Order: sequence, then C-alpha cells, then structure tokens
Amino acid sequence: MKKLILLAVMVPMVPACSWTQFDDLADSTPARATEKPDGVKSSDYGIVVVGATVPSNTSGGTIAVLSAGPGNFSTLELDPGGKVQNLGDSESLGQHTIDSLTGNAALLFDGVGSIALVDNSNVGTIIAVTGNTSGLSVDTQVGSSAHPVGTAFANGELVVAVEPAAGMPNVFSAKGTAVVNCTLNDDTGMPLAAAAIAIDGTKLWAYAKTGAFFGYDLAALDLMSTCTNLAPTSAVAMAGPAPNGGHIDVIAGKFAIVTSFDTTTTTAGQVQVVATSPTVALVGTAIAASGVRSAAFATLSDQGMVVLGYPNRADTTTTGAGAVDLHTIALGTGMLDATPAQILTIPGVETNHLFGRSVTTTNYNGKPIVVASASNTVYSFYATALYEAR
Amino acid sequence: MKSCVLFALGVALAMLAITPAFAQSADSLKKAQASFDTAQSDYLAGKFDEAAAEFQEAYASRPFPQFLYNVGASFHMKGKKTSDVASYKKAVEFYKRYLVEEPTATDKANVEKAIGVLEAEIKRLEATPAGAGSGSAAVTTPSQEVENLGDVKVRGLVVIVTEPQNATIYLDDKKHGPFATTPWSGSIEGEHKLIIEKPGYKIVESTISADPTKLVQFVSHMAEESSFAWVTIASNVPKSDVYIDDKAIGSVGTTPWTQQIKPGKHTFWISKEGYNEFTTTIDITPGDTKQIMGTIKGTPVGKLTVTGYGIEDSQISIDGKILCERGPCLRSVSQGDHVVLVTREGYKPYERRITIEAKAETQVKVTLAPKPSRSDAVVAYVVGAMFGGAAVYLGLQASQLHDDLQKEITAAAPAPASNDSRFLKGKIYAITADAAIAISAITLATAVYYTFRDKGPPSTALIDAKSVTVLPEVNSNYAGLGMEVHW
Repeated sequence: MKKLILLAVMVPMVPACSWTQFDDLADSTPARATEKPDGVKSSDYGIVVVGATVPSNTSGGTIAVLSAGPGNFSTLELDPGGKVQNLGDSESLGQHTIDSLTGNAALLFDGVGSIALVDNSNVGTIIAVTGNTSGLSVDTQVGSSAHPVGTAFANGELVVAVEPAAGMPNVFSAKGTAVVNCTLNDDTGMPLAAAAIAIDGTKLWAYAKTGAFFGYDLAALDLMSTCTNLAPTSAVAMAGPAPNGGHIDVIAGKFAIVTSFDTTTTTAGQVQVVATSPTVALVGTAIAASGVRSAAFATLSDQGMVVLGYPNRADTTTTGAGAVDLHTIALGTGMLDATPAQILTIPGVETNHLFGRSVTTTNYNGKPIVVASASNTVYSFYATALYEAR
Repeated sequence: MKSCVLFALGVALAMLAITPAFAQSADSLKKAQASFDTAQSDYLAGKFDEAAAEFQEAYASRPFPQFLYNVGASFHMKGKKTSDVASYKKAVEFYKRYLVEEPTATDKANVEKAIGVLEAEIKRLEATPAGAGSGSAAVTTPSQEVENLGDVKVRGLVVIVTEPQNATIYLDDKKHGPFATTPWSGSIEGEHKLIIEKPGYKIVESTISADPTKLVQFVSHMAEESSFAWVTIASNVPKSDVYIDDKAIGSVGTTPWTQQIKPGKHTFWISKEGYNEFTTTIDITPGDTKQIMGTIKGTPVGKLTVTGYGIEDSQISIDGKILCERGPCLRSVSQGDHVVLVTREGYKPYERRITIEAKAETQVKVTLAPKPSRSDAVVAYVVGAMFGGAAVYLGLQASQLHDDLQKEITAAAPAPASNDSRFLKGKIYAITADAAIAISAITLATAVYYTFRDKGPPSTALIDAKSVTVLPEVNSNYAGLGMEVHW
C-alpha cells in the first residue's frame, strides 16, 4: 500500500529530475557570456573589445578587452568548443600613464599580431601603448594634448588622427617609439577634421566630420617622415556628416564600409559603402543606423557581414538593453542589405546593459565569431543565423 | 363471594354436560361441600365434636386428606380447651392419618411437631389423675408447649376436578410449567389464572380465588376438540427453551411443554444455553397428538463477564460473532479458547484471546483507549501533496524552459547567452522541484506512517477468573447447595 501511494506521487514528478541538464545546456549555447573576471579590478569591464587573432584555419579566438574605472587591459581566449577563458593577464593601465580612460580611447589590432591602445594620458599627452595578447609593453608618448579622433593600425604602423588645431599636426604616425607628425588637409585646403580613419595597402581613408570621404596616398604620406598640408587624392561626398565619430572598415581592397556614429539624442547614424577601387564612389545609398555606436566587419564564406552595435536601443521592457544588428554585404558589388539579417539581443538584462557598446569580430578555424561588449559583460556569438558554429 | 360464584359456575358447567360417572362425582362433592360448611360453622362456634363429625362426613363423601387434618384440628382444639386426653389422642390419630394420605404435605414438619407436642401432653395428663384424694388439684390448663402451638385453624381446600380426568393444570402462565393434573385438591392462596389442557379437548381458562377457610371447588366437563392437534415437547434437559415456527418471536415456553396447535407443517426448536440445538419439522393433522422428544448435547460452559468504563456504549463479540450489542455483558460461553473483541466508536478496540474454564466466571474489565487523532497524518498528506504539486509545477516549468532554450540554441536566432537568466531560473526550478520531490516523498512517507501507526496507549483489560463450584451442604440448621468461589 505504501509503495503504491509513493509510486503514485513520484510518477508525475519524474520530469523534474533534470536540473543538471541546465549546466550542459548553458555550456552548449553558441552565445557565450563572460562577466568581469575577478582579476579585473575596474568597475566598468568591456568598454572596448577588439579581436586580436590573426585569421587562421587552425586556431584563433583571442579578444582584447579594455575596462574603465580604473583603466585595465585584459584578454579572453575563445576555444572551439565555445568556452571562453579569461587569460588572467589583467593589466592596470596606470603604469602606462593612463589612470582613467577617456571616451576617445581606441584599441586596435594590426592584423598580424600587435595590439595598440591610444588615449590621452594623465600627463597631458596622447599615449600609444603597443604590445600583443601577452600584454602591452611599449609606451609611445605623442606630444599633443588634442583628443585622438581616428586611429588606424596596420602591420605595426599606428596612425592617429586628432582634432585639428591651427599650426598643429593633425595626424601622427608611430612605429615603435618613433613618431612622425603630419598635417592632412581636406579637399578645400583646410586641416582635416577626421571622424574616422583607416589604412590599406595604398591609401589612408578618412571620414571627415563634415561628411566627406577622402583618400590619401600612403606613398605620398610616407609615414616614416614628416609631411605637411597633404591634400587628398580622392574625395566623395557622403550622405551625412559624422559629428560623433565613426568607423571605417576597408574590405576586399575595393570597398570601405563607412559608419557615422550616433548619440542617444540624435538620429544621425548611418552606414555608407564606398567603392575605393578602381574609382572612389558611393555604392548604393546609405542605410539609416540610428543610435549606432560601434561597427565591425567579418568575411563569411560567400558574403560579408557588417556588425553594428546599438547600445542604447531599448527592448520592449528595458531601457538601454542594447542590440547588435547583423547586415549582409555582397562582396562583389559592395551592396549592403539595409535590413538586418539578424538582430542580436540579450533578453532579461538590467537597464542600461548597453549591449553592443563595442563590437568586433574574430574567427576560429576560418569561421567568424561576433563579439559584443556590454556593461561588465562580453558576449561571444559562435553561431548566428549567418554562420554556424565551428 | 368469588368462591361462591366459581362454585356456581362449576356446578353449572357440571350440569350442562353431565355424564353418569361425573354426576356421581359432583354429588359427592356437593355432599362434601355441605358437610364442610356445617363443620366450619360448628368449629367457629366451639362445637368441636360436631365439627369433627361433620369433617369426617365430608371425608366420607370425598376423601380429601385436608378433611382428616381438619378432624384432627377439631379434636386438638377440644383437647386444648378441656385438657381431654381422649380428644388429644383422636387429634394425634387424625393428624397421623393425614400425613399418611398426604405424605408430601408441605406442612408435614409442623404437623409432626404438633403430634409430638400432643403426645407429650397426653402423657403428662395421664400421669396426673384428675380429682385424686391426695389433695392434688386436677390438671385443667394445657402445657406451655401446647400453648406455644397456638390455636389451630381448620383449612380451606381447593378442589379442581375435570371430566375426563388427567388434564394438565397450569397456573397463571404456561411458561411456569404444569402445576398439577386433575383431580387435584390442595391449598392455594390468592387469585390465579387457571388453565386446564388435555389433548383432544378444548382448553379451559378461568380465574380461581382461593379462600383459606372455604372449600372451593372447580369442576369442569371439558368439551372435545377435533380440529386442533396437541404437541408435547420434552427434552433430556428440563427447562429448555421451546420455539415454534419463528425463533424471532421468542420462546413459547420451556420443556416439558404441551400446546394445542393448528394442523399443518410446523418447525420446532429446543435450545438451551450451553447445549447444541435440536430442531425438527413435522406435519400435523387435526386431532393428532404428537410427542417430540428432543435430545440436546451440552458442552461445558463458563461465565464471561465484560465490564468497564463506557461499556454500555461498547459492542462485545466473541469469535467474530456479536455476543452483546451493549455492555455490561454476562453470558455463558463454552469452555475453551475464545477471541474476545470489545469495540466502541472513537476508541481503540480491545482484542484478546482468553481461555474460558468450565464452571468458572471470567471477568474482563476493559479500559478502552481513545483512538488517536489522525490530524497529523492529514497535515502531512496536505503538505506532501503541496510539495508534490509544487514539484510537478516547477518540474514542468523547468522542462518548458529547457525546451525553449534548446530550441533557441538550435535556431541561433539568436541563441540565448550563456548567462541568460533563464538558465539559472530553469536550474533553480529544477533543483527546487527535486527538493520538493524529496520533501514530498519524505512527507508522504511520514503521512503513511502516521496513518498506520498505533499512537498512544492501547486498550487494556484486567482479566480475572473465578472458579465457581456448587457443593451440597448439610448441617444442623441447613441443608442445601453451597457455592464456592475461587480466584
């Protein structure tokens, strides 16, 4: 009798005996969240993230992370199983004369193994700190108190554009501890007020705050020597200005994806593809990107993917929950799909989670991983609707 | 006055259906009645010789022994009044004749005592000559012993005569058993219902009121009855209960039992506590006279007494059969082992195997313990069910979350982040469900235990056995049966 009663009670309860499955389930999701590691003493983890992996078919997956309050540099290693490990290399930026990061701080990867951090130092200069995923080691002081507004890093060559000032250089080039000063003008002969810059093998591309897209000849620029009043070799008018900064990704050697950042109060954000070769011209029309604050690009198997971060976008219930839109772009024509192929969100987060405040891409075994930071959390998407997990 | 009416009734009945023999009997009774009445008047007037003569005349008409006693009483009183030795001797003679003819007289002892006193008085009187010249005075007063006997009263007599004779007389109720058979004479005090039966004749029922100073006669000429049958039931155990056709209506009497009964098929039972039951079914035709002899076999029995607080609301069973619907219970129970069960609403039952000894009284004084409340079990069931329900609900919620998350992970549109609160939520649900299962199982197991456990003290009883022995006792003052009780 007792057994029958107990059996009758236990049978309906059987479905409940599966709580351990949630551990496996959380480990199996391709969207990995890494909260602030214990070793990072900053109060705001993950204000900037950048993929620091050389594309490879056999390895990859390192993310450099900047944190603020106080400034901190750390890395995350992504393994093919989706596990994200903090490398335990938390490094205080105070030793590099950066007690606290400014809103202009930039973290860059040169594509071959070097990482660069650019910001204003606490001694009234611009400081460029370079190194690799093992740590930042080389401090380069730039004799300017202006704010860096655009940065580019390629093959160990770091280019920093600053706000223009009369009689002062507005572009610095640093390689190692050597710094070269230059003055770049716009197509009207006025000093360039850059919102973003990028370099490829032959050109330095600049997105002027006024809304123009200029190309400068790298050979003429000669980053190893001082240059003055260098005029652009190409110029094209964009759909709108970039008063809040921007981002340029040069892809396939013939297109530049130019993003004008937005603020929380305006609707000026937009993305415009510009053909850079053989002629410089707009590709299609700009797509509105209201609230966009970060951008990145990744190459998929047969197309490109533009990653746009909207940290202030609200979801149905939460202000500032944030979102990341994934757009596809045809690598042959440079046509950017105005409709996101997928929108990444983090349900159930607290107000001002700011998901997407910094986005980057890396890859593992040749497949992309979208990484987006939020308040004190870094999310790594091993699979999306646009690509499968490796 | 009643006796006169009865007498008249008797005479009338006698006259209505008179037969020659019965007419002779009636005449002799009439003569005896006349002589008795005259003798009674003379006796009251102190004419003891005349009274004695008339009582002898009555005896000559109908030789009832009581008439001889009355003759003796007349001479006894004359002797006492005159200290006449001859009268005393006649008194002794008639007293003795009375005892000879009525050897089972209920007053035998008293009569014998009177004889002894009178014989002693005769000797005393004969030893002292009346009016002797020596100067001694003649004895004129009875002795103290004679005085102690008091004045003797003549006795009335009830005479019951039927035609035909050998009819069975019952007094008041047949359940008391037969009183006598006709003809009968003797003393009866008070008023009684008179039932006279004889197979083949209609039952006579009447009322008789006996006067101790009168001769009361009840004379009946019984009418024949051929449409009924007569059944006489006897058993080897006297006073056994007799049932006819339906035991539920109760016993109709005790053996030996005779009853006029309608013809047809009838079932008879004879039973007695401590004996097996005899039953038979017979077909009776009009005018039949059936004799049924039932033999019942007894088993040794003892007495079982069940008492205790609240026993009046308790049911007592033995060997699974109800012995008493309510206590206290005193019953004869066959010798041997029996299981006694005492039950009462709201109390724990008391059950015990006891041994009943023959000729012994086993007393069981029961103290029933109240049944414990099962509220703790109810609470445990409710709590267990609540936890079980919560476990099922949470388990289903966890499963639903698991399924949803799995689908989202598979679709990756987008996949939930590894720190998605639903992973933790689902895990908490599942853990809580598991914990609730455990608590529910433990609670329900406890509830089951609470349901069946025997909480509190059991019902108890004090058992006391007394052996009862009936022994004959004889001593100078008493002879009879004595009972010894041992425990």
